[in-house]
Amino acid sequence: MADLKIKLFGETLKSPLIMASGVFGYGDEYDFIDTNLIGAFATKGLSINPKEGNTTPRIVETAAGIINSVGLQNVGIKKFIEDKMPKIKNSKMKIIANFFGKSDEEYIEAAKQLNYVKEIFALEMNISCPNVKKGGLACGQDPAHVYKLTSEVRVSTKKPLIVKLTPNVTSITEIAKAAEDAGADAISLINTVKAMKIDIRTGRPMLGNQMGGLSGRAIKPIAIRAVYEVAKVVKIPIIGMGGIFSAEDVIEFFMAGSTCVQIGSAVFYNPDICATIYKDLNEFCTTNNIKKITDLRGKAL
Amino acid sequence: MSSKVLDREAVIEKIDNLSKDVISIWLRTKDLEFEPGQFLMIETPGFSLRRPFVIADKIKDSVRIIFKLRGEGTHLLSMLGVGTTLKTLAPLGEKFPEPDTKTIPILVGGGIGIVTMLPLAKKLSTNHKPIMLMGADTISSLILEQELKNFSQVITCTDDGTCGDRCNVVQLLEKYVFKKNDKYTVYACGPNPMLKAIGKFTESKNIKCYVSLEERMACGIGACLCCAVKTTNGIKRVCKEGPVFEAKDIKWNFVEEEI
Repeated sequence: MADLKIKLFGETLKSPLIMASGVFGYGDEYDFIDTNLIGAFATKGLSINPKEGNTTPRIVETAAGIINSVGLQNVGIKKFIEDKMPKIKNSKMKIIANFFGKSDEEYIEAAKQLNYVKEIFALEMNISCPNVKKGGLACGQDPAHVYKLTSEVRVSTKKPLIVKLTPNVTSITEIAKAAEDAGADAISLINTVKAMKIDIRTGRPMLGNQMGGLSGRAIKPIAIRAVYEVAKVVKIPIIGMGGIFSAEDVIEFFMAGSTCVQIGSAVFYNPDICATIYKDLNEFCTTNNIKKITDLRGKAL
Repeated sequence: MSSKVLDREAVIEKIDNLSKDVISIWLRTKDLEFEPGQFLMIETPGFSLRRPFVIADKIKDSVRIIFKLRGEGTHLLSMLGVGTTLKTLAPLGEKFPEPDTKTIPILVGGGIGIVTMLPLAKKLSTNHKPIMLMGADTISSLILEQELKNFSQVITCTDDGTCGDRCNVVQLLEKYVFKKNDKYTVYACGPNPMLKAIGKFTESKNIKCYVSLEERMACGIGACLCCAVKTTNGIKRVCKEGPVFEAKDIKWNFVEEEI
């Protein structure tokens, strides 16, 4: 048995596999899978006020991927704490609360409110939101804004702070560096790639919101490149994600510089994907005489 | 009683064409009990998402799905060989509620929506005398008529008049309800404009009406929030709180005409 445990924020995760935000609800839906082999899960993105999300259709399949435009629908932090936390606080998986805001003030307030929830292991700040105030420019695309926002959120919570980056930028390394300099404890990447599909029967966009975010196998090479680039410029842990479907994919993300990984849309195809990957990871490491999966970290750098 | 939600292995036993573009597949699987209205998510090899289909029937250890060839996923499923094993997440969603006491159940199916009514007609036939109103564009699309006749009194209509009345199922329902003076519970499945019209009509006549909605899905269990529908009680998930809803609760203005 290879050692697949990893260390994150001074704590040990029994598995390097984390369920990504958006695919795992609030952690209480997948009650029929084996959660023993999942290190942690990130909640659906939370905001101060509940959000209704976009008009349907919100999902469409494309070659080797899916485009979603859920639009950050969520019950709001208050309801999450009151209704959802009691159901998940005894979970064997560590809980990462993913959050976002419509303005810097909302981000800060969200971080403050989540700070009081004892069972939350870490916060993951989604700065890929296209609806923030600042001149229409998505905050996650401007290094100066990322620095300012991360600094302000950093002092608003005692929880470890993960900043989740969008790949829809010219230079992801500048953004990552800004987050690290501002005090982020980890970087997670990549969020979905902005994308679109048109229904050629009707001549109209397939998604109710016209555009959405592409995930799945199609984006893995983009994610690997982004993790590799970011790993060269930051010292804080990197949580890699984007199109992970197999143990081989996980190995690749480790070699690019990830400390652990998140699994997203693969869970739709195989709800028990983590158990499959965990078993295969163990086999891969054993076959290749790798004692600890952490030994692979940054091998390609 | 429905069995617990599990990701089961299902083996293709039989594939038939019910019309030029409607396929029926029997899947052998263990211990899968379901209630009418519930659905499954089935693996489509080579694709990123599974596909949701209502569970249409069950005989011994086999369940049946019936679907229209619409995109690449359904085409692939129709071409798989007998003996192929596919992972199947089931049973999912909520069932159709029982009809109100002393009412006659009227089941309304439009096009491929007729499929959803088959298990309901079968179940209700033990204690009730369901009426089945079914419609399609033309006679060759009018599927499952003979099977439904085993469980219900079937009345048909087609857009082109090749079978039954020349009208749509909404008009058929109006004609039927106006002719008699009984009390009814209506169950409907079909294209959204049809459901919307039936919802409006039944509400105006104070008839309880349940509809089964279709929406694009990813997880099937309420985690991803892709299949949202606006209701008077807030946003609901078609896969979890649905697919069956009371028609009067749906905010039809927000429901897409075609998905």
